[in-house]
Amino acid sequence: MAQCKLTPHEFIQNAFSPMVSVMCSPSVDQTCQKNNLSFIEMIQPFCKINTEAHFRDPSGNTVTIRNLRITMLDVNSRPPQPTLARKFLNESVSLASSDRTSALQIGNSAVDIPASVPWFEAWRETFLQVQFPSDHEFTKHYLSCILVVSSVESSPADVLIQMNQQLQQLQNVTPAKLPKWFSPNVLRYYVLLHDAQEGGLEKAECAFENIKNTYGAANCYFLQMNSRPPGQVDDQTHLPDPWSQFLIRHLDGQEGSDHDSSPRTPAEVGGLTGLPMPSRLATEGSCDSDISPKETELAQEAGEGTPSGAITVTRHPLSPSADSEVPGSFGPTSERTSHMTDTVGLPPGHINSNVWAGQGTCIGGSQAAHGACLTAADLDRLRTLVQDFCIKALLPHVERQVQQLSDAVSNKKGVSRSLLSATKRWFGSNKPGMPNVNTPTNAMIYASDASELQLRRLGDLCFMFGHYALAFQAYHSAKRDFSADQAWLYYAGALEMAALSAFMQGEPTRKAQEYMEESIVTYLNSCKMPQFATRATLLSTECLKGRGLYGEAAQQFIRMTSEDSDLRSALLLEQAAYCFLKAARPCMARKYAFHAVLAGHRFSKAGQRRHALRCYRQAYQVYENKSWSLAEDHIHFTIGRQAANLKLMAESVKAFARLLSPLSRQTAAQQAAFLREYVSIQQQQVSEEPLTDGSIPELPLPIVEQNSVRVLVGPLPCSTSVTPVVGSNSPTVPASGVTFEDDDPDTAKWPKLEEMLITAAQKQLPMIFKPTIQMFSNYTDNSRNPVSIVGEPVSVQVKLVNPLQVSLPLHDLQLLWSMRPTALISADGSAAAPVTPSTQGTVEAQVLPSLLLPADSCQPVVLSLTPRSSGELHILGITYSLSVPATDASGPGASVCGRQLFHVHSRARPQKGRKEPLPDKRLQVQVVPTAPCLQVNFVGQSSDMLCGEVQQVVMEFRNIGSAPLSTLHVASSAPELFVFEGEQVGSAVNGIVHIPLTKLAGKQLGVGQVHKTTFWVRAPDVPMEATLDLLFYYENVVNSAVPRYRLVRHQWILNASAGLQLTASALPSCNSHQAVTRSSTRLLNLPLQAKNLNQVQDSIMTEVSLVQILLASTEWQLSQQAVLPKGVQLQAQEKMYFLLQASRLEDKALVAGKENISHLWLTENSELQPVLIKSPYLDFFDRYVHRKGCGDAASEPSVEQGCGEGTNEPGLVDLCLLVQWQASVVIGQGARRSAVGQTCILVRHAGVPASWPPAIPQTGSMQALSPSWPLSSFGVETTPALPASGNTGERFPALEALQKLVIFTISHPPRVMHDFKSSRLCVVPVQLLLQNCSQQQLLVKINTLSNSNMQPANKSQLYSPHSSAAFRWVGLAKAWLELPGHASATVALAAALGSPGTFDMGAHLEVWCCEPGAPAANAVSQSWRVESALIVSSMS
Amino acid sequence: MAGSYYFVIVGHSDNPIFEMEFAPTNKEAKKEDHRHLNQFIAHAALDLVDEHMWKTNSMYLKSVDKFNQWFVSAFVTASHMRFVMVHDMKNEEGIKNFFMEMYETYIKYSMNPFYKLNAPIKSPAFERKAQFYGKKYLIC
Repeated sequence: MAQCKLTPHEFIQNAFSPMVSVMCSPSVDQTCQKNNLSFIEMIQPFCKINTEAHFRDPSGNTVTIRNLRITMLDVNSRPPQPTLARKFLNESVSLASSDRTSALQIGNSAVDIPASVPWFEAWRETFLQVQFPSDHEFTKHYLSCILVVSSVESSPADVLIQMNQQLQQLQNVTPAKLPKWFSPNVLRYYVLLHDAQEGGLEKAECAFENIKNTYGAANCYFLQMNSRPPGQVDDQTHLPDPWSQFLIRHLDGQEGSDHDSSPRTPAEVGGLTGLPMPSRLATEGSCDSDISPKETELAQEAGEGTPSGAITVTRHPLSPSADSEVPGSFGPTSERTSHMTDTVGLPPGHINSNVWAGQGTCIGGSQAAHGACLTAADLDRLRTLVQDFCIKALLPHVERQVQQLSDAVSNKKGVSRSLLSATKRWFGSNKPGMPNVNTPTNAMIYASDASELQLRRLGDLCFMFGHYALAFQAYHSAKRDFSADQAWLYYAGALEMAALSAFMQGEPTRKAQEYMEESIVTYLNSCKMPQFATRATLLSTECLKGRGLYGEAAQQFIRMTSEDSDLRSALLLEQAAYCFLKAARPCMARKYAFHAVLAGHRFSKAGQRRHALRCYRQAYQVYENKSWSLAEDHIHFTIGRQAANLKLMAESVKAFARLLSPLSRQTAAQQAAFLREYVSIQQQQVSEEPLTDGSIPELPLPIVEQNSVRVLVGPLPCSTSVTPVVGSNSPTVPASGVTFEDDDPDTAKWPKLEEMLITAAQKQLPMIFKPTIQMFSNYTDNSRNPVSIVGEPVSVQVKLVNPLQVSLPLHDLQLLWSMRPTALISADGSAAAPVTPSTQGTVEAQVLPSLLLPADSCQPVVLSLTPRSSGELHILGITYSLSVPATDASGPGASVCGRQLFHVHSRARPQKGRKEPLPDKRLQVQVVPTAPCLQVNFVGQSSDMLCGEVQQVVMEFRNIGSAPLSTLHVASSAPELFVFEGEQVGSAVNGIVHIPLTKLAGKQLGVGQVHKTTFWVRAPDVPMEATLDLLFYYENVVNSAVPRYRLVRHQWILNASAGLQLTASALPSCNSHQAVTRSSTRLLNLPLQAKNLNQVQDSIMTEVSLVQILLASTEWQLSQQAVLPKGVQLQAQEKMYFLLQASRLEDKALVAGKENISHLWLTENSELQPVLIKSPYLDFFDRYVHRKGCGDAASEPSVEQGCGEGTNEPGLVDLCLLVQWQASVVIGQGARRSAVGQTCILVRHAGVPASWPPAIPQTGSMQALSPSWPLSSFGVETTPALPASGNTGERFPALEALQKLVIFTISHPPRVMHDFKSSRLCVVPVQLLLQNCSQQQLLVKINTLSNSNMQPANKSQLYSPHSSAAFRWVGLAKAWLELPGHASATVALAAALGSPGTFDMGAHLEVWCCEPGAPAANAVSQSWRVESALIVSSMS
Repeated sequence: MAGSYYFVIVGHSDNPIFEMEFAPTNKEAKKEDHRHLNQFIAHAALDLVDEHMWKTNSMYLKSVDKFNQWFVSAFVTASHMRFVMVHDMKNEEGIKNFFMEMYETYIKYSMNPFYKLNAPIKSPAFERKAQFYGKKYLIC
């Protein structure tokens, strides 16, 4: 995991390999060019010697060197200038990549990290290579120089002499310039190159002899090459090209071509990491502000000069303003201008016009040509050259040098402590990094041959050749000297090397670690040379990692991240992140993630998009699903941006889609920005890489509430065309039908009505009754496919949720569908390919042109499809185009077309024994070719009515389907509210009415035919909102058709407001005159009170005038004797009293059970008269009476007797008063309408006042009385007793009723003259007339001897003076007689009066009655009281 | 001048269950840009919180981490809920008091039988309390 190829030891050894310069004559280069290589390049692969080498140290011990590697460079080569160096660095990173990852399990989450980090290693190597050699250390100084001449020259020896002189000049230049030399007397080595193709071997050997003689055999080498004849280029192709890995980095030295043409240069990339306005989530480096920090970085990384102002400011790494605030802190201007000139002088490399174009082109182009003329023997010669050079020349030279240096050091030991340094030590600060010290930080410059530097030289030499013990000693002493002299740069270098020596020795100590730490700090703070600090860090972290100290390594990496170099910071942060993962403590995944994000951020600023994307991806694995939403948003946004830049559109789209999550906590403006970004990226993706199957992408917004998807088959009520009836201004209302709003999952009323209808229409109930479902929702049984008919729309309602805080404009919404026509199904089962929208016009989809989803809302959308042929229609989802909310100025924003699919799941529980839920087929519509379709319109329907008002409504049936229909039925849950024209009374008891189609041909309604029928609706008696549910049923005339029958629903909401209240009672009356003359006539007085219940504060004002009073009874009829005020209008809350009289019909006119209706007109307006007596008013009346009877019967057994037999109950009158009225209703502003209605009242018992509607309607009773209460006609609901019905609840008749069985009156002469003188007693004959009011035979007892005290005396007090009761009945005092039902009898009595005066003849008279055969004790005294006065005058 | 503070309660699976930012009123402008950063810092500091909490007996862990100019203080409750505060000024006493008060508030809140441990806290009352204590102890 994230391993480096090299071990720390190898890495450090390679980093400090001895430097050897090479000087070639021009002809040598020509020779080498035949192989498409320069001499340096040619020899490069062989610079490592594999055999062991030895040298002796000053104390005489032999030091063994393994794997010695030397670095050969052209003597004229210079480290690249900052611009170029930077490019090399960038390139090294961008070219290296590794796709292999290894997974690491941390807790519950797995993290994928790269298995190796080649980009870091490449950068590190490049970084070390591009460093300029510094004066404070000698590891980068040339130890030796190899001079190469070609045998082609006429005199190679002369050329060598020239070159020696050149070299001498180079060394003696003052002030010292590049190249730098390790010591004044560098080792010189002479190579004679012989091109075998050129021939002349003898001459060349001769020349070589000459050279050997001049410079010594050990220092010369004869190199023969190009042995292969040209054109013979076959046998080597299979061998690995030894040069390839060394040539990669030798790239372009030419500037200028790439900055403008290539879109991927770092400076241009800077602006891409930022978020769009207004809040910049990622840091924003606008292009212009990028320049200054980049320049700074160039100068620093290349190690040339020290920018004065580039002090690292502590700044947030993700901070947006960091870039722009660093002032122009680059090095001196002259240096910058010289960059361009310097680069021209570089050795020509392989020119690649676009360094960013990827490694493939540059390697592939040059690879084939390398070493074309070299045979294996030639390669061996090259290898021997290096080996000979090292062992025979270099190592002895080094041995001498070490000896010499150590001698010099030991000799000067005493002297070196100069007076100057001693004083400094006393007075100066001895610690680096004290900014207050006046000494300039790098003030101390030693001469190149200063004695202090000899120690350092010695250390470097020993270090390079692997004598680490000696090196450590040397560095250690050098460090002390430098510290004393306050030469901080030298000091830091010595510390660094000392620490490395200790590590290489294999005895790393705590001390060594501290040295390194101090070295880095000194480089950084005192010397302001971050490039050295970086190098020290790279070396140090390797040491620390090698020792397992990952936490410390991470700290060091992090310290070296600063604002001045994004690339370096990014790489180091990434390394730090890996260190956190490897930390010995429980690995710090969260730190890893954070630093990966930081690294990714810096990578993106440095233009390394691929790496930035990789880092963010790695980090996201840790942040995933932890709901750090803002952090996640940042990651998604960056991933989206980087992926888009790298043309990974799919990934980019996915990342941006995640940004639009419902959990987003961004501000509205930010969300709008995200949305814009998403839409544009999605657009790009669609245009650049369209999906292979031609379909459109799925969009993340708006969210479809999957289980809210509802399907409605059949026409929507609103879409049916309403044709007003000509010549009528009454509104035409179409049947309400089924809408998406009817989604009450608990309503069973419609299926119940349907069940009743089927039973009635088909005369039998199907085996399994499955109610027709027109609207399929989450609550319905979706195991059957919806059935639709060709030409009828299938509507789908779906709820779209917009979770964002910005509104979403959608355009062109339509349903996505696929259709499999019937023809294909029948042909080959089901394997036919479904027809998609593009192929045929089999389905017409409704397009919603635009819809604006407001912020944070949920909006239902209804879309429909109209199939044009039969088959199977699958509704797949919706398509739409999502646009960016238009900003004020920009007009309509970009939009992208996309789709969302429906995934519905049935909520119905699976049946027992079945695991998987039932399939939800609501989106798979079966389309059948033909069916009738009934459209029902109501003409004259209004919803506001008065209680008891009657309205006429015309029903218009129209067959708009494609087949004729028959057997039209209608069912209702409230049959008492309506009456059909021509309907048989009582036929609608169970709520089902058959509407005959007899007038039409074949008793069926053909296609396009219209049938009209009239019906009346009467509003309920109680003020309420009543619902009249009508379910129409009709059948296809073809019996086998699917569907067999269809339904139309209508729901009519009646708003009944207060109307007329009636209060009535029946009082038996006894007219004595009549009684005498027509003995068998009985009378009832009927006081009737009518009250307009309209309240003054009601919204409507009514003015009621009564038209007619009807009396319906089996026994009574209205007599024309009545007090009838005519033409009275009742305003709100006004009352009117009537006194009516009803007389009993003759016995012979009585027919059992037949009701007699008598009426009285209250108005002179006669035009209404013929209408009102007829249907429908009497039908409603019937229905009312019927319902009253049945309703009471259900709850009141005692009355059931009375109702059924009538005879058993005494005092029962059972008559029904009906008042028909006209009302003028004022609705609001002067608009008025007239209404006609009727109100009934049932008077059951004589003497008991009844009132209807109930005066104070209580909520409970009102609901119970509600006529529209569903299915009440089935007797399921109980209707409580009416308040006025004399409810005793016992089996026995009420006492009150028993006391009124018999009425009686007396007749006597009103005035009697009597001569008391002649006779002391005056005897007056009195006739007692008894009338049996019941149908029963009664045993009546007349008692004239009752105690007067028992008589209620209060009434007599009204008279003043009181009529006297001081008389006695004489003669017949007590009598028993039997009285048949409704019969009357007369009994002759006589009263004896002793004095003149006024006498109350009712006194002392009592009538008892009981059933015949009952014991006498059961007799009940009748409460009837006779008020009759007799005046007796004395004749004198 | 008062610094800005970001307070988060972190649940057992490193998920934030309550977040709140406290900023002095005068520097609202720059706040927006750093909102995600606070989350990053707080989340990264959890590694150190987990390490520190075994080293001490007290619930208040003081400053556990530092990132550039931001400090991270933490408090670990008995049920190992972690209170993390990212702040740019030293205010040890105030933060400690704030943590103690929030601990008490949190305990009361978690007593609610309808509250599921580790679920996000979405209670206006809780927010008001946090706001109040933030004003009292942090942005004095």
